[in-house]
Amino acid sequence: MTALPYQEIINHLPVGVLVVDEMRKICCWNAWLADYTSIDGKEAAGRTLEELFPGHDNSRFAFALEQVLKSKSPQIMSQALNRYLIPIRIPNMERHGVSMMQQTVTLEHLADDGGRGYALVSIMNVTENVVRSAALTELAHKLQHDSNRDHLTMLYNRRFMWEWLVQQIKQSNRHDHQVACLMLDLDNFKSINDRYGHKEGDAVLRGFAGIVDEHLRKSDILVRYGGEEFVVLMPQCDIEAAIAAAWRTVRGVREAAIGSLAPGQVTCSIGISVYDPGNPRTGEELLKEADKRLYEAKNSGKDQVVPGSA
Amino acid sequence: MQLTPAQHDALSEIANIGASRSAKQLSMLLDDEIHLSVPEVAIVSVAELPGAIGVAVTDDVACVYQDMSGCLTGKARLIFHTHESRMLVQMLVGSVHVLSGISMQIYEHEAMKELGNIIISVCISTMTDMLGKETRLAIPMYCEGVFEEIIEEDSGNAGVLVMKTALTAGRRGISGALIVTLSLPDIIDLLKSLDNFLAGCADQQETK
Amino acid sequence: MQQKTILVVDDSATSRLLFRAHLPGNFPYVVHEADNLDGAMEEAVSVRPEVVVLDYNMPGQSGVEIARAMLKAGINARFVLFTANTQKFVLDEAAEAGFVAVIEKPVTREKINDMLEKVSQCN
Repeated sequence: MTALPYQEIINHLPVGVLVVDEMRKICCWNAWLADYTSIDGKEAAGRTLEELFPGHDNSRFAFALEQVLKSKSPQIMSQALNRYLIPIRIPNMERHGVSMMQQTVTLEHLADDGGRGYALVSIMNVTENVVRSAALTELAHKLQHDSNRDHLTMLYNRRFMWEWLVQQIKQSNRHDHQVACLMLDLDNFKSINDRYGHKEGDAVLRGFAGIVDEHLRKSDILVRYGGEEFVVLMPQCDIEAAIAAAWRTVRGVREAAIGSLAPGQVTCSIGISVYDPGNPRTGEELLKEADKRLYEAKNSGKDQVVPGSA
Repeated sequence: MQLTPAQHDALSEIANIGASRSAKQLSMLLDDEIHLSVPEVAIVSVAELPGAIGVAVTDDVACVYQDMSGCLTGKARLIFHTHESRMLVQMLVGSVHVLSGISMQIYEHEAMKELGNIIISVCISTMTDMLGKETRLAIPMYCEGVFEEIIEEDSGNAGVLVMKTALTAGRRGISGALIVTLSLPDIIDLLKSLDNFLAGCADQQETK
Repeated sequence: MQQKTILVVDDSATSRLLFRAHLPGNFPYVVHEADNLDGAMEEAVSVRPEVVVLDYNMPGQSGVEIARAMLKAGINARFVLFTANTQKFVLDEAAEAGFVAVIEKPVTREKINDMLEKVSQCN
């Protein structure tokens, strides 16, 4: 092969190429870097990166250089943990929430004929990847939000519940069976959050949902209705069965260790209403009654069930 | 292969020095208290490896690896159970939104590669520095898969230096292993270096 | 005149060996060793060392906890931390407990000399 113009090649690469010697002084600074930083090779030669960009914290880079120069061990500086090495402003990405070029950097050891060591630093622009990931994350979020599930507990959400209830009432009218509605609320949840923190609060919500679920039939649906409010809808269920299930649930919750709380520390109150095709009403009215009973339960000492009149 | 008590103690001390130095670097990078120690060291055969590190051949693991050449030729691998390493990285990288089913894989792989690279390069260089063995590491790579497949290429004619790791970051602990697969002659050579190292210290001591 | 002593507490025999191997000439202390809390307390009480060098990561108690136990037991020595784990939280913990110096592993003669200087500055 004929002698290749290495300098030409280096200056045409679509990545930043920078070489520092054992004194951390720059001895190669390619055109990519010159174009993006407006610092040309002559200006950069013989300086350190700290001198070129004062005020920019380079401790990770300093350690990486030491590993490369002393132990000849290659190093990578991920975008995920470091964001970038060379501060380069990119104005047209601002609308995506990124103002500086995001970079993945690799460092490797080089030696010249005299055996002197150098660090070859390659800088790759990964801004587009980062923006794309962020966009995907946002999209996934939106999808999850719009779906039928509550994000924290993975229970059904209100949107799903109303749709389901409309259909269920139709079924109930058609086939002449009842639909029970339980409205559950964790007692003193605010003080649990205040005392143990929101992370524990979330764990308690999830744990509570799990326990309630244990006391339900396959046909029942459990909905996260509000912050600490839940609704259980039980098709083909009369008032007696509903009351029994509700008390089993109250007891189950009281006796269980939930999150990192001991048994007895978490209790709930339940209000019950039942949809009877002989006395039709809307889903809203059904829930409203259950809510009223729940309110009564709360005012009668909590940790109990208050049923409505069928 | 059995290490003598003296070899075991020396290897353990050297590995822990490497681990502490890596931890220091990780803590600066992640801006958090990091605890990294090597509670156990051993030299085992490839067949004994799963038992030695508590990973079943059918387990899903995440692996950062770097080829080694020079005085010690083989492969250094840092191994974690996949779900543990994912939790760790997500926590460290501050991914508040844990999306089930949509894994921000490349993002996490990159971070894990860097963390693994730091641990591997600092531990290996500490070992080779202290024992005087010139070794070069190649660029770090990342892969995930069933443990059996990951170590498939290691021939039966090899020994594995096992350094079990205990890493705690932000109150979350994750156990893994740094394993170095070497040819048997290289293992024997490594043990000889350990003996020389200890003998050297004893000599230095006596000339006082 | 009874020679001054230094007590090195580290669960690794290699580490203690390394310490001895890097002592500068005319090291002004006789070296005693221990590898756990009980052994260390016993030695400290019987030998009354001037300086106690403690490894940080030890099974059971950390070097800082052992220093605290010794202070409580009336051992008034200068405490030195001996560790590769020189993260800020460790150094802060040691400073708070009254350690006068830190030797960062792996040990070298220079580092031991630095430690001697720091100790003499305290006296």
